Amino acid sequence: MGWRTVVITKHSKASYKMEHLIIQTEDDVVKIPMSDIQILLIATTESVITSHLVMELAKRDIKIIFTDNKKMPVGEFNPYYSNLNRNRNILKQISWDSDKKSLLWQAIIKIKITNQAKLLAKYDREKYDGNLANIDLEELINQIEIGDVTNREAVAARMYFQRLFDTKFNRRNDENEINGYLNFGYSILLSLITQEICCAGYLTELGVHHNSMENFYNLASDFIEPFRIFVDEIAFNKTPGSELDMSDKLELVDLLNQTITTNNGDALLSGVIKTFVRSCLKYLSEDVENIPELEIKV
Amino acid sequence: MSLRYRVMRLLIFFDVPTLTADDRRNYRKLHQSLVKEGFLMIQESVYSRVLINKQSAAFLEERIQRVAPVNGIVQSMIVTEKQYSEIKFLAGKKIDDVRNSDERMIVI
Repeated sequence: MGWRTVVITKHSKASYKMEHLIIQTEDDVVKIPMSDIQILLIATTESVITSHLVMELAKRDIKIIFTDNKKMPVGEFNPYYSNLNRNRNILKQISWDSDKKSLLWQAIIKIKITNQAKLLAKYDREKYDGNLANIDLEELINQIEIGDVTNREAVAARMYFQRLFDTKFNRRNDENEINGYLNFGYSILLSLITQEICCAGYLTELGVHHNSMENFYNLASDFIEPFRIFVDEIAFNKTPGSELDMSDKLELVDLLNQTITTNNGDALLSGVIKTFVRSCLKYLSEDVENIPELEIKV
Repeated sequence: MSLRYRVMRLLIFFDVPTLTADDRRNYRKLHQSLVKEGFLMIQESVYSRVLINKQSAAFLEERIQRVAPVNGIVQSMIVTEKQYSEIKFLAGKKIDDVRNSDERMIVI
C-alpha cells in the first residue's frame, strides 16, 4: 500500500523503469519506488507522461490526478480491474437496503455537523451571528432524522459557513478566493475516496444519498462529508485576500498526511478516510448491523 | 482497525562470491532484486529501504531472503527511522535521494 504523494509541478518527463517512477527534470532525475506511491498529482500542464507509466500506475491502483491550466484538478484516472469482486459488489450496491442507506446517511451527517460544531468552537466562532438566528449546531444534531429527511445538513451548512468565514460568504461564488481553497481541497479528498471505492470494487456513481445524474462521484460525495472540515480549517487560517498559490495547494495536498486523533487513536488522515470508507461499504454490503462510528478530535 | 504507521528502515549488508559464472549470476539476481524492490545503495554492498511499517519491512525481508545466494553472507536489519536517523557520518555525507527520506509528500 502506497504512502507517498508525488506532485509534479514543473517541466518534466515521467516514465516507468524497473518498478520505479522516473521523473526527469531539466537538471535532475528522481526515482521513486512504485510501491511507495499513493497518489500522483500532475499539477502542471508542462509535463510529459508515458503510456507505459500510466498502465503500470493503473495496474497498481495508484491514483493519477490531472489539473487544468489554472492548476485546479479536472479529472482523475480509475482502473478497471482492481478488484475481482467488482461484479458481485456492483450487484449488491444496486440493491443496497434503503433503510441501511438512510441510517448510514443519518450517521454521516451527525459526524459532519458534530465536526462543524467542533471547528466553530475551536476558533470561537459559534456565537457569530450576522443576520442568522443564534442557534447552536448542537441543537441541529439532535434533530437529524433517519436519512436526514428534514435536511438539517443544509441548515447547518448555511449557519456554519457564514459563522466560520463571513456573513456574506456564499459557496456558489467562484470569484471568492476561499471557494478556491475549498474546491481544491475537497477535490483532493474526493479523489482519495474514489480511489478507495474503486479499490474495494464498487461504483462511485451510485450514492447513498447523493443521486445527481451529472455527478460521477455520488458515493464519494457521501463519504467525504465528515472530512471536509479539515479543508475548511486550512481555508480559515489563510491570510485574508490572498490568492491560492502553489504553496497553498501543496499544503492542501499534504493534508492527507496529517496525523489526526480519532476514537481509534492517532492515525494519518488518509488512513482514517480509507478505514471509514471500507467500514461504510462493509455495513452496506454485508450482514452487519453496526453503523460505522467516527469521532474526530478537531 | 486504526492504521498506525511507524516508518522503518530495512538494511541489507552482503558479501557474495563472484568467482564463477554462477556466482556472478546469483550476485546480479540479488542486486537486481534489491533495485526493483526500491532499495538505495548507501555504500558498496549496503542497501537501505524506507518502509511504512514493521509488517511491510518483514515481508520485504522475506522476499530478499529468497534471492540471497546461499554461499555468500547476506545480513538484514530492521530499525525504526528514528534509530536510523541517528547514524553518524565519520566521513562523507548522506545521499540526497527521495528513497533515502521518509517524506510523505514529494514535490518536483
